[in-house]
Amino acid sequence: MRRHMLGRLEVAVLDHLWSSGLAEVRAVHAAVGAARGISPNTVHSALERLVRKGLAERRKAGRAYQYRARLSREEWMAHGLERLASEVPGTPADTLIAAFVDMTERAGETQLAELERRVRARRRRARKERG
Amino acid sequence: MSARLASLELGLIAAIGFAAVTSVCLALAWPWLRARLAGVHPALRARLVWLAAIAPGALPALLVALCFVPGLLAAAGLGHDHCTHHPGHAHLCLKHASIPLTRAGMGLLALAAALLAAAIVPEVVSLVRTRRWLARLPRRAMRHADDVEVVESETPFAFAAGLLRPRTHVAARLLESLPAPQLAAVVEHERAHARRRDPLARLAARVLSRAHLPWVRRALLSELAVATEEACDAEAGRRVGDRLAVAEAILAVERLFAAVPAPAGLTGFGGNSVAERVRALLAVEPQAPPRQGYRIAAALACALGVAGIDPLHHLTEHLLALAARLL
Repeated sequence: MRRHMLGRLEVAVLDHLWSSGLAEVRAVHAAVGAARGISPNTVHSALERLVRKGLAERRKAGRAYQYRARLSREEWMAHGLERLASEVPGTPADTLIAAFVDMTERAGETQLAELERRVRARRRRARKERG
Repeated sequence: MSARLASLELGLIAAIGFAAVTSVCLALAWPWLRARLAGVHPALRARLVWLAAIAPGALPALLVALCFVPGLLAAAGLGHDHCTHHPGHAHLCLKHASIPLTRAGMGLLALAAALLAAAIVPEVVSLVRTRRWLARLPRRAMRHADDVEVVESETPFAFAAGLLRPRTHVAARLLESLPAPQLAAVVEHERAHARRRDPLARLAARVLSRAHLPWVRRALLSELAVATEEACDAEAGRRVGDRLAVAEAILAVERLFAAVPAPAGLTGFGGNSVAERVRALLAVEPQAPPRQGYRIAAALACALGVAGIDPLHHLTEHLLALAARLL
């Protein structure tokens, strides 16, 4: 999947497409744009940007276009790490945020299992000593 | 060229010299220093490594500023003007004419300006992009913890962000997935980052460490990252009263991340600091440095700086004169 940064309006439009399935500009504007006080043209531009980014597709229905999301919400969420890593400039660990665990580098399964075993053993020992 | 501008240019050349000497000295001392820091409390270790990282950028600026102090005091009528007693050599003084710069000196200045821009511009771009990214995150305040923002995200992250007033951010996924003691450990760890202003310290280290030799810089920044995380782990352990809960939280978050499909090219198995942090939490915590110790060290450094102003000023002027003759 290509990496793109999404604006707030694009996220809201995408969210609406996930809920509605297939929607015309007028419907998306009624659901997302009217409350924001923006014009149907602005919503149309956001939909076109999503199409260009490969996140939505359109098809002709009479005189208007209908839009729908190309990825399900679950597929989009599954790419959370990639999206996060691509939207934060550089490697997150090296930028201006201090993360609890490094967001882009993982400990190996063997190492993780060994560490979990040691922590569990220590926890058991601590409980025994207390009680 | 005015005397003032020529003096400032001499100051810049002196700064390049100080930076080169600091960089080489720290490159030679780093293996020894690293071995000595192994058993030191992570809070003190992080502070010392940070000082070593910023030294080639910060120390030259400080030393050059000290070199100008006698001239500034004389101009203000608070000190003795000695420049006329030493005609014929460079003067780090804004009032008196200095020796003219050579082409080589101008070249050095141009190179320093280019290096400075190369160090600062990427960080400014990164800062702007990170701020934009943060502004777009959908978030709400955490119940019973106004200083913590919950980010509506399925990615199980937690981080502190912001330079002057850092805020703690925790993904909603972590709130749903972690038991209360582990969640408290995560929040306390990030609060420790915020209290220490680690994002700002990291930015300063990244910019000011550019004058280090590349491999020394990498080693210092890597050691700084681990020491900072361990310092926040230790503080979180103290605040929740259970170091094991912090270790369990680190492993639980690592497990949650492992379940998220990681993108190719971004994953480096075994390359992160999880193992070092967990092992540090399982070991006995080294003795924390006394708060008074930092103040005494700062007072000693100030006293040394004041006492060394005159010798430093004269030594630097003589070295500059020597360099001008050689160039």
